[in-house]
Amino acid sequence: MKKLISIDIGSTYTKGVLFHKNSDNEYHLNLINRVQVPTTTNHLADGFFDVLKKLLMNSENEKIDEKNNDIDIFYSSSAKGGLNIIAIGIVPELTLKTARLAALSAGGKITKSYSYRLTIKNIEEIDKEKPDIILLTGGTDGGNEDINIHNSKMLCNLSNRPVILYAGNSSCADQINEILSNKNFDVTITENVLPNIDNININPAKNSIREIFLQNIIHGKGLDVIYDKIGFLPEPTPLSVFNFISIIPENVKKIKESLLKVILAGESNNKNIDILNLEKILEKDWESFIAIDLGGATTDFYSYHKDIVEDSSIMVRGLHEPTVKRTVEGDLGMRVSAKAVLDSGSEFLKIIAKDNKLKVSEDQFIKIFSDYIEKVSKNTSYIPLDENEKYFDEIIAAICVRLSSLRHAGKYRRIFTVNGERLIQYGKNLKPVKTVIGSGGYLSYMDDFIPKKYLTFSYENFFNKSSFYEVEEEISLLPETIEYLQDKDYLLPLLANISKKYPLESTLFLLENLVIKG
Amino acid sequence: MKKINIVTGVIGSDCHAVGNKIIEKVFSEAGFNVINLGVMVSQNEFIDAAIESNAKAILVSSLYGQGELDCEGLRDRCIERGLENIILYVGGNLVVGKQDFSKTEEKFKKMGFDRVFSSDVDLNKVIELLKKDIEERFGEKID
Repeated sequence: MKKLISIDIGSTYTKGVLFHKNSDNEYHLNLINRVQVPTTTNHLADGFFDVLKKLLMNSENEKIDEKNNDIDIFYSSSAKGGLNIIAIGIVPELTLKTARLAALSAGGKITKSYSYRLTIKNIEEIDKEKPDIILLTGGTDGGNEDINIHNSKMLCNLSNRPVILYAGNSSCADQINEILSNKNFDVTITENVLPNIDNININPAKNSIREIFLQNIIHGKGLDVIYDKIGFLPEPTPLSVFNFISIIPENVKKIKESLLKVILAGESNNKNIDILNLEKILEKDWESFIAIDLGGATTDFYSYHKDIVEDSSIMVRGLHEPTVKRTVEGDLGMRVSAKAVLDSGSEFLKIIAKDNKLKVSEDQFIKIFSDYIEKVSKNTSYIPLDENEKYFDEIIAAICVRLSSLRHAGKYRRIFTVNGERLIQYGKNLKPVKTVIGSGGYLSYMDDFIPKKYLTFSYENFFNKSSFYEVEEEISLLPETIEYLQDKDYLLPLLANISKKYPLESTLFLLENLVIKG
Repeated sequence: MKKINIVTGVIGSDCHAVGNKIIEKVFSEAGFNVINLGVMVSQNEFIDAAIESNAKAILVSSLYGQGELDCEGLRDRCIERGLENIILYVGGNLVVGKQDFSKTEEKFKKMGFDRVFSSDVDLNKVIELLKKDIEERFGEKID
């Protein structure tokens, strides 16, 4: 028997699980123990070892070290809000967009992004942000050099010395390296994120960001103590989840094709599996899916979808987005970012206010709601006390889900040609995506909140031709219909850690524990 | 004296060849070295030719009403590929049906074109403007 331990050091809680894996050819994991303690922000090791000790308490108190072959430990950390990245590109819709995709898929948090030429004012802003990494991109290979050289010279005016990752036009990489290294920057050069206009290449930059994360995170906060004992460094939590999302479809396929029979055959040994639920979950469409992690400070939106445009009346413009895409919204969250929700979601809020459940006037409602927002953004561990407060939380969640999905999805724009009406597609078309996993503090624990209507978009309704021809309407490419699955025990990040070594087992365990919400 | 290179062609899947030949002839006679890519030219082909020839301007024609679709993003691509300052002109039957030209002009200028012309423009006027623009932007005088 093998023990698998996964620990996630989050910004608020350090969570851990202990699984038993009975034998090599048995894929079902047995959940033995779950532990959660507040994150010890100043010295992360304390919380980590506390969780570890508590996890093993119910079995025997074993000695943990890297040589113990019976125990596999995995851990991730998003402490201090993850890796702060400033993204710089030339054209907003080309290199900057690609740079943002790379930074986000590496699990980073983009605090600011800049296009074209940096100004002194921008430099002052960057200094205030104190980023961990500046991702400098721009130009296709052999393309624009001037702006990159200008921007690297401008960066020399910074008073701080963040790590600079250059992933722009390779023709001027040496020059950029020289300019910045001479001013004592720690510079990493990697492949161009946009080597030519029609192909993005974000993996080299993604890998470099991970390496920089590992080199830098060890300093302070007690992670070095964990490193000494465990023998390796944590993965950034969002990167770990991103990588898990990327392998779920292939593993679901494997489970469907061969594993399910094995599981069914071994049913008598395993009373812990709800076979009926598992079969239902497996019936869902796993070729494409969405996962949303709605937290206190941010909303993470992941999509797995290969966007193939078959309709010849649709012309795709702009970047071809990757199959797996992560966006993270720093202004959308249940608590820490609740105040920003008020600004970003003001239009959406007005619609809700018009028909609010409190049966008060629109203005009055917004006033009461704003007071609640004020309260929860100060007291970030606040739990709603009555029905009204629960309703307010639902509204915050609705705004987060709606806006994050709108920002993640692409859109259609209509155009008239000699061949009649055509649609131009920008970004990723999520219309065919049918499966959505809801995870994170709020979505995992609120059983009554079904975000279905905030995620979907009735495309047909927009084809109200009479008014449609008048306006230059943009149509968001949100899913048409979805089936909502709740990650009830918030297992996504913990299983993500394990999936690195046990992809089938962790996928299976996730599926077993998803709850169909309609 | 060294001639100034300009690139021209008909964009997209448009194959109106007559106007294209006229443009080549008139601009050559006016003293430009015209790199004419002919009909059905993609955005990347325009930019490739301009990079290789160190052209000062790209003159895009579109006659079949799909100009908006074909031209969108050309300026952005030019910038990423190092042609930040290149002069971009567009002309022809740029949109379908009878639309107010000033609206069309605004649309294409927003896309990053320096000048927008209708299909009945006098090419001599365009030549004058191009000479003026090249002088202003690159300081190169053409007689």
